[in-house]
Amino acid sequence: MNWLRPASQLLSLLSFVGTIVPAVLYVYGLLNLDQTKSWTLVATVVWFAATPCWMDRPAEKANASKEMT
Amino acid sequence: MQSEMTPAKEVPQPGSEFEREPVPRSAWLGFGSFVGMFAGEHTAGTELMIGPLFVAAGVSAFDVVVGLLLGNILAVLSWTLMTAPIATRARLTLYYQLEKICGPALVNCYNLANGVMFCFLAGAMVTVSATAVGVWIKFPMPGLGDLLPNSVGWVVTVALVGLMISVVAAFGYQTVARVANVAAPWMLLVFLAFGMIGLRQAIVESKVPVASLSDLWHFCCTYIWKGGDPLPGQIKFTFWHVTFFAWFCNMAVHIGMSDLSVFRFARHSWYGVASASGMFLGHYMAWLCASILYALQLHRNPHDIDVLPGPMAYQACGLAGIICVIMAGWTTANPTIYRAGLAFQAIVPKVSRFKVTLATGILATIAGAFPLVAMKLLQFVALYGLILMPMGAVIFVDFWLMRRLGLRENYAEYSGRRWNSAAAIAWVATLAICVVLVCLDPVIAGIRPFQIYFVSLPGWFVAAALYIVCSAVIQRQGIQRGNNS
Repeated sequence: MNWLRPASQLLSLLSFVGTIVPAVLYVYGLLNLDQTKSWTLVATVVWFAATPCWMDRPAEKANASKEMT
Repeated sequence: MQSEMTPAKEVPQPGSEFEREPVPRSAWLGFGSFVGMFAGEHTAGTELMIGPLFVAAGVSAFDVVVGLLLGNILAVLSWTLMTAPIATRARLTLYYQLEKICGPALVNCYNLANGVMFCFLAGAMVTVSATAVGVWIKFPMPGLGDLLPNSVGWVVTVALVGLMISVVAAFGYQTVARVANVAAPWMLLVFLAFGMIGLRQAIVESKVPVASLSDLWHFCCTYIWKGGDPLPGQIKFTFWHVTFFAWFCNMAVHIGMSDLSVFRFARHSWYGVASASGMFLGHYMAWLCASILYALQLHRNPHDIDVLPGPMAYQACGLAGIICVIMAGWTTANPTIYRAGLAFQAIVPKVSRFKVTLATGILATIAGAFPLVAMKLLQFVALYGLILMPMGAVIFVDFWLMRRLGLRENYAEYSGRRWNSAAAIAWVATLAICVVLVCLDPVIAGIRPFQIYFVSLPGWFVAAALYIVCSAVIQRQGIQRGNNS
């Protein structure tokens, strides 16, 4: 499960960017408002699913707890 | 605003450790810890009220953009030049520093005042969260001019939201603190999205061509922050109102010295500049973005003047916006109730923290049912700073000036008194003078320099002068009594 932490960090990064990108695309007229709301919600769900897996968890401690389980 | 109050990920919170001793070198923290803490702490539910209230107060674009810039710079300087230098030299909590100067009995009074203000602040955050529920369940929500609860549905919603927050706070806020840390970076981006989407919608709906920055500025001046008369029941905000509001909205924690408890962990006093992250993300970007949403609402329907963060956020960002409003209110109300509970518990230490925090939460919930605090948040925040400011002046003078003036610093500790009358007089008399000035509201050369937003500035000097004079008298009396006996 050593891949879990970097994978969740990558997802967090993507969702972090994904939270603001729909608004930027809306400003440039590339998304309509409903699409903007939907993509922002998707990014929000991914952020809250992925980020708790690594934030506030020191790497060694997280790995240790994984190994114990 | 400081509203304070997402617990930091790394910065130990007041009361957590080293309560009655200087923080040792091994516990000092790096600059990054403070940057993260301030950015999270100052993106609260109340930002969604303050931005719109600026628009309701009739601010112009220049006044809000430049006034906030100046006010936030002054706030950062206050943390850097007033709070952090004392914190990094004494390395004590605010409460222990106050106890040495004022005595434990006076500190109890301070705790009471602090706790009550925290309760009202948390109440405003409960109000903000409850407006999000109103997006789905239709009940009459409070309007801009409402001071009392206006419907049973509103009261029930606030009661449920407040009770949930209170119970979680009473059980300890570790889980909420973790959620708050996770949510903080995301919330900042959603606030930014509010502004971008709102601005785009306003431009599209107004059919004004915006092809350059100059066009954008002109649009902002004519459609977003138009200036002119405030909405009914609101006070007109000028450049100086905005500047002083931004400077003093966290007065209790910088000039009022509450953040001594935070910066005692800083390696250097210049870490005070870390507060810029909170000021320019939470108190600049977030306020401007929230105000854009309200300006859009007014543009669509000039008669729809209600400041309801939930519906405004839903219009811009849909469900993500609603989650942001709930998160912003909940994650900040929770630690605020917890801290208010701690302040009250210091007064009644025999009652369990659970009971005190729960009772505090219920008090905050009752306050939240009254839209008074949220709808008059600009005035309340100014009042909050004013009430706690004199004690900041007392600490400042005691730390830097007393010895130079030939007086004894930390007099309560030195004399073994539970009550330092010099500090008490400086606090109460300053408040009395400021209240009288605010009530009289004299007009001098066409300006009203003693409105609630400004009066804390002269008030600080009054408090400092009173503390010096009273200390000189009381300490001389003490010496004479000592000689006589």
